[in-house]
Amino acid sequence: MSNRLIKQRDYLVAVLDGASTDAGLIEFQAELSDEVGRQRAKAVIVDLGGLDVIDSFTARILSHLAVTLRLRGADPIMVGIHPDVAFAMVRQGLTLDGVATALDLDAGLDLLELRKLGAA
Amino acid sequence: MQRDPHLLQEERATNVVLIANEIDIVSARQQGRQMAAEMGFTTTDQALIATAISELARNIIRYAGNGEVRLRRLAPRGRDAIEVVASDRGPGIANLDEAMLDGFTTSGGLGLGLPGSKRLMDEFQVATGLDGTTITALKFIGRVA
Amino acid sequence: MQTAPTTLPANAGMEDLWAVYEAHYADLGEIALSAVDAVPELYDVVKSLQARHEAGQAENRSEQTRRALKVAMLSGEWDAYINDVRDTGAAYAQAGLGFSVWSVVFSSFRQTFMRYLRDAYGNDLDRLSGAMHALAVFTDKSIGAIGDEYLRVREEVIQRQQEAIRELSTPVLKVRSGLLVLPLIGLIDGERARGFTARLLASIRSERARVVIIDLTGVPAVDSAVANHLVMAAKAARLLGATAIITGLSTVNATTLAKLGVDLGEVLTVADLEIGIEEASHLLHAAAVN
Repeated sequence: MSNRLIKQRDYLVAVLDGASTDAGLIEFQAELSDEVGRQRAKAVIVDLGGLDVIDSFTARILSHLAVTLRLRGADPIMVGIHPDVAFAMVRQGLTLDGVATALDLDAGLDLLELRKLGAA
Repeated sequence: MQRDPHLLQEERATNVVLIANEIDIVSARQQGRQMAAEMGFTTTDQALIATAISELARNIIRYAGNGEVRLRRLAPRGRDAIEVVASDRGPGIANLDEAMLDGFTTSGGLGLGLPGSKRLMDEFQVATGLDGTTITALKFIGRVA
Repeated sequence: MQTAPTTLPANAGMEDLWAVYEAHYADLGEIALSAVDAVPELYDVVKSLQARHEAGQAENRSEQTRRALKVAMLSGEWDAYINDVRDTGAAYAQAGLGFSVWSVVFSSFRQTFMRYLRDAYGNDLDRLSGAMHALAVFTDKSIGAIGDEYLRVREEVIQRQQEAIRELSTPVLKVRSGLLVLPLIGLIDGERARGFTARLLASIRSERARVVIIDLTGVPAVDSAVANHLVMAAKAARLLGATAIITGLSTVNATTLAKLGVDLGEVLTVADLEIGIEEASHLLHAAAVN
């Protein structure tokens, strides 16, 4: 139940916990949504490095999260998916199409910096 | 891979994980991953197995409330494999054919994730009825048919 | 591998054979061991295998074999004995013992056994002939079972070697910072696709690649199954933040895919590798942080 919200280089980062319950995630989503509004954040990095497994349930929650964030005006960038987890995901047909991705937190931050410069 | 002739056809002990709440899902997939690692599965295959276990355990909680996941090492036809048996005494899957249909999308509606988890394993059998559901899945080490 | 059914009607010859075998069981076991001494290669292997078994276990093993053999010879049910022999054969095959050594052991064994048979039944030619026939059946079955295991183990080794070759033939190349190229060659099946996809993803992570080019110039046949594998690889790469570009799809293959109604979707396809690398450079340049 230790999903947490942090700030990196002035950007909002949501770090998800693999052992979180569904209820915990829903609660966290609400918290995140509020914070996005409060900070008028244009983008949120969602760090999935703590997820040892992404099954259809998790993928659905992530999609939902992405939609919610966009509705609040923040573009979600999913980062930190482990290669083996990515492999398992596409085998199941879970591709998170339409959601921006980056290798990890650093790569995600770089991407946001580029957008600020208008280059990406 | 050296075979010990005397233990070839023997089954090792079965790991039984009772599934009653979400924490048990984490426990089941961690045990599955560990067993797979001990058996010599690649990390990629370990992820596939852990994901299938997660999916099956989630279904148990969502649709039956509680049940169990049994993990076992087998060597059917001489090839090492891990067997995952997820069972519950829930209401059963009403329309199994529909549940096994592809055409799954991430933004889609409710689904049991069965076709997805089927694709993660090498063998996958579903037995379901009004008195419960048992799903038996198998993954072999190394080459896949 | 099909093997002949192994339940034969019991016959007097086998019973006579067993009577002599039982009487000389220890001696005949010694034959095998002295054959071991005669062939140094065999000696080392046996010693290393024995080292792995505790003394108690080895004795039980011998009893187990003896019992299985008795059942086989007296009631014509050979399955338990054959499985036992197969296990032994597999163990030695995996330990690297040459198959030809077995003919030396069996030859020695047969000669000694025949001497015992002549001693026991020499005054009754019919009986002797029956027992000698049974001996031939017994040794044929045994060496046949061992041979089967050797073949099976060899096949496993070959498959492993082929897998290693396949891995070597699809290396992931780092062309420049952030750009990987995976040149595919030959026929692509599910097994290969899963292999190179897993390796590609690991490389994306270790090299922090943002663009990967999957080149199909060396792939003669691209059908919908192959296209599916490629799309999966591209989608998985995207989950790691890398854009995949497919290059080298021949006109023939492109036409085939179009006819099959296969659409690679948003996966970027480019005619040839050179253009692909150019395209990749543009993507990377746009993303380069100064």
